Amino acid sequence: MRKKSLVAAVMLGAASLAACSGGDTDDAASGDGPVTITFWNGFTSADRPVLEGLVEEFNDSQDDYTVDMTIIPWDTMYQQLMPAYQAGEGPTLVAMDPARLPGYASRGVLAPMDDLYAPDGPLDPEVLPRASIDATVYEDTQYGAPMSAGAGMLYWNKTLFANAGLTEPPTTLEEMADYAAQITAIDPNDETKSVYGIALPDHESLSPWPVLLWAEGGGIYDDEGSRSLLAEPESVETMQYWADKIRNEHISPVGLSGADADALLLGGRAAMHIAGPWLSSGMVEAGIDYGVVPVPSGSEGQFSPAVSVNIHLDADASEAEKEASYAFLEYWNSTEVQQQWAVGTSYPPNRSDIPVEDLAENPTSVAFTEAVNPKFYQAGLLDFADLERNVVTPTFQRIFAGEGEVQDLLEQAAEQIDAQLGAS
Amino acid sequence: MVASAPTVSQEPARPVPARRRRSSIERRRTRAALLFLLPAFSVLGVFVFWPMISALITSFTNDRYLDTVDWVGFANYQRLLDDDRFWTALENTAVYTLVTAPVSVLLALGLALLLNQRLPARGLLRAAIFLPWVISLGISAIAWSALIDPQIGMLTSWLSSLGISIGDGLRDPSVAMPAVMLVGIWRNVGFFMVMYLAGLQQIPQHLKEAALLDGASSAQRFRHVTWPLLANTTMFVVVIAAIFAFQAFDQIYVMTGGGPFFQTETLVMLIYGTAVLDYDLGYATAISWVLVAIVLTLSLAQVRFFGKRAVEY
Repeated sequence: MRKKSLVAAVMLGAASLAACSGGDTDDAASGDGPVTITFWNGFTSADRPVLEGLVEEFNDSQDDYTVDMTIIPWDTMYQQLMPAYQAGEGPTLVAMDPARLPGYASRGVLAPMDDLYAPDGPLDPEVLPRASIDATVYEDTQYGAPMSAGAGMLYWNKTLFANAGLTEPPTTLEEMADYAAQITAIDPNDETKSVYGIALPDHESLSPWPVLLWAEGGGIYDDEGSRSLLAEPESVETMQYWADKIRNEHISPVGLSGADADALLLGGRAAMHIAGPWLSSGMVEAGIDYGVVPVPSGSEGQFSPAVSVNIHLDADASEAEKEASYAFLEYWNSTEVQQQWAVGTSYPPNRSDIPVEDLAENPTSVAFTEAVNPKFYQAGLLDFADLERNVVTPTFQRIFAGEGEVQDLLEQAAEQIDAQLGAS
Repeated sequence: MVASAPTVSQEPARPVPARRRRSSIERRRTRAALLFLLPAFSVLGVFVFWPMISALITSFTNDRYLDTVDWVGFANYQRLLDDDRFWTALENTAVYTLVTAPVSVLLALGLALLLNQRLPARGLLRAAIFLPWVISLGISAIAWSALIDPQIGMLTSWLSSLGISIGDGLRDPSVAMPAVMLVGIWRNVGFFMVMYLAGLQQIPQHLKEAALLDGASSAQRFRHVTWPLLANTTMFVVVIAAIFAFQAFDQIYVMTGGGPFFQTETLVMLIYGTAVLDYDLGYATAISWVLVAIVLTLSLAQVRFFGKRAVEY
């Protein structure tokens, strides 16, 4: 009896250890079948079905390669990506914002892709967006290919404008603030019936703040990413101006995320919002009579927040996987695919050689090609995500919540940023 | 029986071989016991102890997923002392624990006493209170966020028809912390109530009857019979409630993300952000070990405190 128990115990122990070890799976590159590559991205909005359709078309168009795509919300994807790469389980291809690139490239988890734009390479740099190509260079090495590029524009709700006796969208930022104040109608008895002139998010969004600061001569970082501009007089004055508008005239709710702001616009509860093309099909579905115009100009210039998503390759990808990846990138940046992508999603096409007439089916896509002076918010800064989350966002939230003087808060933030930039 | 006892003791003593035999039996039994424990220990070892030890080692390094990892001694622990974020998170965790643990335990005890009596729809009420425990907290937190959204929330709309405004809702620091506490209490109270119900039903009926015959009032019966006999349950519930509070994460992650400006950031939220979002593994593991030390100390103190008060009749 005791012997039997002993044997049972040993077997159980061995079984549990075996269960822990797990089996190794072979790389997809082996065997005779098509090479399978994985591809992660966060296109969860109305652009998702268009993207899924195009990937399916690629898989059906040939027998050599299969793209196995996983679409998860961007924030979840970024949380999983680094641990996945560290564990050797990262995706072959991943789409990401250029601001995130340095964090990954510096950790050696992405493969250099200099041969992508070589004379015999799959992509022609002449017809692709220069800004995207430049934004995917880290320390003189090319790390990615364009997936989508565009800029945020000002969406305006024509019905809410008309209700306030306004017919035209603003052309200056001062007008934008004035119109927002005129449209804002707070219902003191029921907040769920209030209407806001504009939705200005402060986290997890295409941030309007760099653009609003640049237009008045200020900024969050200097163009070299070497120091903060938050404590500069232009920045302080601009933030003070918007803080007064938000806190005293209530033109926008405070503490909005990008998704909150989208929801307010889609619900007809906010009249203006700076966002990318991804919102347009939702606006049509919600039955909102809307227009899209470039972000208005400030006293020192006019800017649009550049939006760019690029595709990067796993540093551990095999030769076969790299070949499959390049084939997909070539397909993605072909004329036909870019035209379908633009018409389906309202993003402007990546290629400059697609005539505007070919996009006529979707006028919003044409409108998005008219963004003025698109500028990236700090691509190339190693600690971008860290600083944004730990310093910039909380500082803006404190300002709009009235937790301290604007000048003091911005000076503290600039000091913190400068200390971290100096240290890294 | 009694007479035979001396004869046993008068038998010639053979201490040495007996001890030897006993010790070899004991050794064999110990070996068998260890073998039986092996499966559990191997799982614990791989999934609990090894990660903890490996985290402890990491906490003495500057690991940031970069190529070079250097040993930095106690630098990460020293950094904690000057880090406002850490102290804010510690304070938030303490406030969260000091409010949610006692409130949920007292509420659970009250509900258990109430629902231990014969009431109409007793089963339904017990199930309704226990239900939040069964639902994933992440999912119920999403539902709560939607319900109390200041612009589009259903609850917000009902409250405003009663003349109650929640202002900016979760975006207002003075509302955000109470809101995540409320959801934490709402979630745990059902579980603690079930523990107390089990405790109440283990109290022998004859003790209550004896107290009743002695003319004890219901308050006296609770004070002198029920409460002391619930001491073991109370110890378990209080220890678990404190541990749950120190681990608060899910609803905070979903509802406020630790914001606005870190006003709802607990230690676990800070560890998560430092490790998963900032890749500062050395510092994050140092905070983790401080949390382990706090929870361990607190739990031992609680067990000592309640252990002295356990009563059996």
